[in-house]
Amino acid sequence: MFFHVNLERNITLEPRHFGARMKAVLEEKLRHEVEGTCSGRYGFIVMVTRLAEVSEGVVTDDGTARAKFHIKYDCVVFRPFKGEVMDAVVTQVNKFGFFAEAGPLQLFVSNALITEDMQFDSSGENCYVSDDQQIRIQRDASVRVRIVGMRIDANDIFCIATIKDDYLGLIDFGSGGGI
Amino acid sequence: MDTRLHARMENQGQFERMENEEELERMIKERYAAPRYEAGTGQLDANVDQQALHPTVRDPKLWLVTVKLGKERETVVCLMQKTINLAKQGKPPMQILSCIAQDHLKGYIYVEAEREDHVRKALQGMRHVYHGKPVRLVPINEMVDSISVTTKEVSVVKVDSWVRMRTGVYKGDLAQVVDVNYADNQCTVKLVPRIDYQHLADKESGKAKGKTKSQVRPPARLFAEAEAKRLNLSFERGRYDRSLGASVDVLCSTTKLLDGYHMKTCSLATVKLADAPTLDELQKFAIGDDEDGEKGGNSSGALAALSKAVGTRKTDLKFMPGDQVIIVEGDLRNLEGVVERIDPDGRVVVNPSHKELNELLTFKSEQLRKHFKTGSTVRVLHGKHEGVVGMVVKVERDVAHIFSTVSNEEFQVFMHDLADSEETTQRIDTIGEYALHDLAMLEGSEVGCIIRVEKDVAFVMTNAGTPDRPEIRPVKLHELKKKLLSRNISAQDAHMDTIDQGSMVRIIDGKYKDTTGTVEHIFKGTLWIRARHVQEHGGIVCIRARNCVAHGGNKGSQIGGGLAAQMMGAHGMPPKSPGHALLQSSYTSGLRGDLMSQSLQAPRAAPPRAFGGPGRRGQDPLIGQTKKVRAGVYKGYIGRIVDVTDTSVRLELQAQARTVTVNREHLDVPQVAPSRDSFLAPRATSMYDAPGSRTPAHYPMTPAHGGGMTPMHGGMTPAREAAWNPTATPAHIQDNWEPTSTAGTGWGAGNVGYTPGGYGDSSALAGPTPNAYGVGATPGAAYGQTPGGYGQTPGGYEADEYVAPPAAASWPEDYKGRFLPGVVVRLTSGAQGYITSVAPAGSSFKVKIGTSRPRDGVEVLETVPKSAPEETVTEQELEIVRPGKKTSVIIVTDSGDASRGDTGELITIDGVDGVVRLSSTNDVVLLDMSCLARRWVE
Repeated sequence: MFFHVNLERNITLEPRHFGARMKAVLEEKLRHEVEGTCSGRYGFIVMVTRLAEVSEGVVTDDGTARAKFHIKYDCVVFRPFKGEVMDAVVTQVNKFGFFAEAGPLQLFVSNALITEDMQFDSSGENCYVSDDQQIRIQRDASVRVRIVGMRIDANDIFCIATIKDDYLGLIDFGSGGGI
Repeated sequence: MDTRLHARMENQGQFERMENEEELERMIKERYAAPRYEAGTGQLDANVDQQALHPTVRDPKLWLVTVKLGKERETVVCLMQKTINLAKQGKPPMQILSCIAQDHLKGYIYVEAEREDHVRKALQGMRHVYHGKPVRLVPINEMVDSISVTTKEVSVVKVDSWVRMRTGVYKGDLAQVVDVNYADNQCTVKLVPRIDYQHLADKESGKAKGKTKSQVRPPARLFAEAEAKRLNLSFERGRYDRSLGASVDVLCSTTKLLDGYHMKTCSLATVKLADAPTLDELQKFAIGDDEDGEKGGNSSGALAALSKAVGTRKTDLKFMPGDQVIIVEGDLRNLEGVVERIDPDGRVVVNPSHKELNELLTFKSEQLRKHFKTGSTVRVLHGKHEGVVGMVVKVERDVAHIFSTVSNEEFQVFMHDLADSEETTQRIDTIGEYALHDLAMLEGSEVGCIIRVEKDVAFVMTNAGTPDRPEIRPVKLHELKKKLLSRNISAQDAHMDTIDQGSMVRIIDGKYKDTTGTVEHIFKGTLWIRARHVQEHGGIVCIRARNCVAHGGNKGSQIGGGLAAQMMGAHGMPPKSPGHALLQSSYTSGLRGDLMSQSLQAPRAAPPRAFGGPGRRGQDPLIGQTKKVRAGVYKGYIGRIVDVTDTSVRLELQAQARTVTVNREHLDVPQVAPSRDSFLAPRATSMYDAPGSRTPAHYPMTPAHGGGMTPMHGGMTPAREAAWNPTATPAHIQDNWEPTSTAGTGWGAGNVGYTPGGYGDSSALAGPTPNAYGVGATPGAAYGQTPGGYGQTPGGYEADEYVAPPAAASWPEDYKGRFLPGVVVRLTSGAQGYITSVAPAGSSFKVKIGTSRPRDGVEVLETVPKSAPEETVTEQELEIVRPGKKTSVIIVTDSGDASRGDTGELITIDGVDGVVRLSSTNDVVLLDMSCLARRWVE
């Protein structure tokens, strides 16, 4: 789920950036530092939308003469939740299940969480095929999954998902075009 | 005799009739406990009862008697027999009350008696008693302990229990007991057979005689009838076995087989109870079920069966408060809950997670089972996967399928081996000081990245492997020699671009072609990349750097915009310093490393000018110079400077093939830039941001200098350092600058004129006197040899020592020469001294002779004793000593800024000019050296 939240961060800036462009440099640096990162609480920070408040710089006392700025900023975050249904693109298929990605989020769908009528088939490209051969889940296919478990590390989130539920599973073969 | 027999029979009958245990218990209590209670004080509650039973001083004592080893029981029986005999013979009984032998106490028996001589008398004539040894009294407080029997849990081999074989070809193998015959001390176990078919065949045909059995242990495999048939082994089908109650197949008329398993009858002594077989072993054991079982039964069916089998083993079920449990027995079956606490009696108090059940419920641990929902994060507590954290993907009865996010693998474990794990916990993935994905030095020169950590072993991917064939090796903690950090190491990719730790690279070769990943570690051209799409080994790939291409730029240039532009500009700069090449080799050294990493992991190219502070050192003119060490351990050594920090320099010695670090102060070089703070002062920004901005600041001076200025301004840095580091002046640019004009007066005039204008905005940089800047700006000052301290305390000098020149008092009016009182002179004899007085018209001079000592190849007057002799000499015998820098001087010839007789301090010498701060006005003037003489100051 996406959220627009207000976060804070301290940015240190070297003296050579103290000047007219300082604020622009600060923003750039903030974007560089936070966009794409992940925290357990807020999930992935997708984009900084606005610098709400930039404090006055305080020169650090570590002898480097860098200045520290406390910045409050608005950003769009992507935070997955247990039970959330989302669309993902399959990145890898193996006999244990398949991996998929929903933006920055990695998902794993174990074969225990794949409907029973689908079997692993490694004759060609690794894929899961339904008994009637109608549904093939292979690389680049789009699937709709429900998150059943999450593992939140300091800088990554990993989810276990299922397609063993109503309205879940393949939504696009991938090679056939966009969703 | 008869009656007694009868009584016994009757008693026995009574016992048999009392099948009810409670009745039996009551009876026993009545019989044995009653007298003690009667002896007691009567009404007591249970606690006091127990206390009352403890021995007191009035009770008989317990004596420890030493007997022959192994004859403890016999001695006791003998004593009993003796009692009976005495009673039979009508003799008075022994005065002992009881005696006990304890199995665990070898060589001793306890005898209860009032006095020691009673014990001795009772033991008289006993064969196995060591009469020579003293009979010891057991202290009262130890009495209870010494006779209380520790109830040891007797492990009994029962049907269905898991055992391990102690001996034979099956040694260590897991087996399941199918039948036990305690009478014969035998049991029948079910084993995965290890049949040596060839050996059996040889035996059948009689060829086995003389042939030794193969040393190789046959693999544990289910019996294959085809194999037996191939070797023509005798095989009997369907013989009914009474002990098993089933028909079995018999191979070679010895080996009983059932469903492919070996049903082996063996002594109970050759098996031992197995403690908690692991799931893997059980799985191996269950292969048979899988193959022979019903068609639809997949491995999970077998597992379920297994878990059922194992489920009977309830002894080691342990719950912890907070465990998720499900009730598996009784009315409340399938109710879920959370363990609230464990009572001391082993009962588990559960808080049911049900809307309408709000009170805590108590269960026996057998009624509960740990329960994990699909998706919950768990930690494995026991077994092969101990410590692994993963997520539950599937639950089947007692077995959970776990997906480990570390290794991207799925495995199965028993539910009771799992515990809940916080979703956000740091996984247990360290071994000693080494953590997962650390780079560690191994034996020899091998280096590996830890890709998996198990109980006490780490799996490392060494640099010997390739992506296609990675070398993964399990290592113990002690085999890990040291942790390696790749922070400051870089490698070069296929296009010779720099790869740093944290760069994104694309693999251009082999199995993982076109895979991108982040560089985790670098070691000697080998990269360990963490690639998201690689599932093996937790996504770590070990690859040569040249098989990769750095993705885009590295971190620094990804920032984009002005910052990046600046950095790119910095990138493009060619190496500035002559020592640059050397510098790169010694890159890791100290401060530089920090600064580099701090400055946004700036590119590791030549430290660019634009970087200001940190980069400054890259251009330090000291680098590349050959200097001599003046003090310290390396005193006297000469070497080339390869790297410079604020406090130390790296010196490549000429005498020895090594590079040493020398304190900067010990070097034949003045101190430069003691504090970075002065550099990074706010106003510094404008100066550093644009290199050009420095130049204009200096240009206001040029008019007076004309063309002569330019060559010397080639190196900007020293000038800057001189001007802004008031305490020091570098001497690193030799006196190679000869002004085109020798007119000292011209300089002086210019000096006064330009100073305030040129430095108007930066007046705070040095002392309060505007003239101070004149010095800083003056080429002579910047490149001269006299370190000053002038900028900092301009006013400090006139305050004390320079105010009153002792001998500069007076000289005859008619003397127009240069030899003024106080001037240090050299006599024709070579001796040095100073002039104390001048005779009228300079006809003669009085010189006080002191001792001089050579310094830098020049004799310098050092001391002049008070009692030193005074010589009277003529002008011809005298020669003025050229003053050295930082010495007190006297102006001996009138010049533009100073008149004859003025005193001052020679700040520095610039060729033929000297920079002097006059003590009278505190002005700094440039004077011809010929106008100056050294002035003696006590």
